[in-house]
Amino acid sequence: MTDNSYQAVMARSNEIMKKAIGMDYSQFARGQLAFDYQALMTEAGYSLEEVIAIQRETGVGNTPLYELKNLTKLARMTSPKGKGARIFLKDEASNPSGSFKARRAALSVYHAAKHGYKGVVAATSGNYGAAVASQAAIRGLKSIIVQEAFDSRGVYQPEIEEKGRACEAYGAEVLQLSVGPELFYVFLRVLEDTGFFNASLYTPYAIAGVETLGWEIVQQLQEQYSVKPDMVVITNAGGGNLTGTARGLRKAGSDALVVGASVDLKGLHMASDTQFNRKSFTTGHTGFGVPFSTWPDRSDVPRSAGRPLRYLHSYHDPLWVAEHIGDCTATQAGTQARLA
Amino acid sequence: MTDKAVPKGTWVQIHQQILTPEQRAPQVPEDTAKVPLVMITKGFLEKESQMGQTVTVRTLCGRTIEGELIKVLPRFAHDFGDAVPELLEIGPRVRALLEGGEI
Repeated sequence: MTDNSYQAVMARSNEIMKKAIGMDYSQFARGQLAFDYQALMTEAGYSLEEVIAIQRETGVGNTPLYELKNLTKLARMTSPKGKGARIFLKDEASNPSGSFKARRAALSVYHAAKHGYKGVVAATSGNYGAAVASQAAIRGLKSIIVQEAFDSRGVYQPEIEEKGRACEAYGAEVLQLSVGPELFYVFLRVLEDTGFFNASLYTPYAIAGVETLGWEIVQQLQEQYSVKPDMVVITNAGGGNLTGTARGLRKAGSDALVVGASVDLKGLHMASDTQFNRKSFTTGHTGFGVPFSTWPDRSDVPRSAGRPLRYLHSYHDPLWVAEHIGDCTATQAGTQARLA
Repeated sequence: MTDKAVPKGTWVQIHQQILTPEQRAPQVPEDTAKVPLVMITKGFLEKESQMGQTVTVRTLCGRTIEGELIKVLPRFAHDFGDAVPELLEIGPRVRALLEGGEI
């Protein structure tokens, strides 16, 4: 009989992952510490054009880009003379399931279906669960979402409860856990029990799926406003949004500065039962951003394809961004006119 | 409710202890180490049961999972918190700035 104790399952982690992702990560190892990141990304095996086509099949991407004229005006009112960039927003809530996470789920679920997996599993408390459940429903795969959802008093974080509801509405089995890193143990057991694909946020597929976001920013700015981005501010948590967007910017020929932003939750321990409900949101904060930037391989795959330190120019709290956005020198046509 | 039988096929919520405090990962902080890791999930009841009993459910994905029966037709319940007076002030002030006011 299989030993399903915590220690035994954790010890089988690499073997379980190999089957659940269909990729042997040891092939990328170069010596004791190093690994070949570009080889890992190439292993994803989908070109930008293919990713765009796959995402279009399920209505993902090509989200609107807006100029935030009021915020630009406000920034210029408070900035030194001659400064104050034009501010644009990429409206990722326009994706199916309501977030940019649909881009990551789209490619993972497509890949899983293509390789004959009957279903997908994802460990996520936020938007990614809804994205995976939605993409799986469209492609006719089963889905299981494992959430860290409530503290030992049984109090749920509202956002997580809402995402759990969305996942169920899309037809996913939702497993909700109390606080703790042993969620990974439950996740491994589900992978082993089902033989489903690990639709992790950190596979090369999940990162390649975000490259279209950076690529679209460059294309849309050019087509709609005839400008190039000087700086792109990206929410940073696990590192996938930042890494994928930055890679897409580079593929579109942009040399824009890549700035990460996370809400500063200094002092809160992410695995603390009593501190869990002191935050009202699940991600986009330093509780993920700092540990995942400095140690990306702490994630649910042997090697995370999200490597923010490869692309980050600087990393700040959103308040810093709000205070300093007016200091950016406007270099593009049409931004010289300083408002009174 | 406790004595009433819950019919087979009812959509219910179950509770299961995954790890006792002693079995928890060594790296968890002190407060978390004192409480068990528990899991809650939902499914269709496999046979008529009583609240509080150990039951088996079939999930939306088709798997069977065992646990203690805790809720029947569980409600989704969360709200959007109290009104934040500071936020109510910000809107009009920003609007006044945009309309030509002073910083």
